Amino acid sequence: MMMGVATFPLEADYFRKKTALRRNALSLAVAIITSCLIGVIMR
Amino acid sequence: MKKKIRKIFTKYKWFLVILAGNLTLLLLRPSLGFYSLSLSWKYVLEMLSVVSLVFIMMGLMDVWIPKETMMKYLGKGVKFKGGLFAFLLGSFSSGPFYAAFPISGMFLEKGVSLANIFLFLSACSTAKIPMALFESDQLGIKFTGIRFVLNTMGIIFLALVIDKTTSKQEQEIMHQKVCEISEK
Repeated sequence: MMMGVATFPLEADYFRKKTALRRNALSLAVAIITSCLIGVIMR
Repeated sequence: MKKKIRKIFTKYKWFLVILAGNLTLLLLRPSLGFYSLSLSWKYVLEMLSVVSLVFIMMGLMDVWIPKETMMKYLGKGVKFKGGLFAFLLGSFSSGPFYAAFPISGMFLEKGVSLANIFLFLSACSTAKIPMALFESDQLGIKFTGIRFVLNTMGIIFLALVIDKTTSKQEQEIMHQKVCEISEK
């Protein structure tokens, strides 16, 4: 979803490593929750 | 001299890693290596074509749109309207995700709020309208609709959390870093 491993170095350049890590971690969490919810709704 | 070489190596480390990987593959398995090298070259050309256009656009925006105007529509004071504008800007954009970072950097430099920057970035990666149209054709309207709504909620949550958890000092450091990048 909003996570980017390949784009991480570029993101860290603009927003610093800490913010980029935080954004990617939160994105992963949101992506997992969204996927689970889609799975439940579409069943 | 050594310092200069080390600086070049640090700056282009990922490019050199990919080049070394491709050359190793070319030596060990020539057919696969050639395919990998041609793919890498294709992506380099694609990236150069996109990035050069993005930088031209950014240069024009930098000159034509003053900081005050940017802050008026996307600054900290404009909460709902600014967020909606940033989201729509990201949704209707085309091109790869990496092209959104220099634009976000420019937004940061011009005083756009962090929540709006992350709304734009997340919309760029997840809520693109052209992609949603293609997606609904392939996976169905129901799936696309549910995904779009859930992701939009996620994007808003994420942008607000990052905005609230980033201190003023951190924002100032980010701003300085972006200014340094644009000066280069």
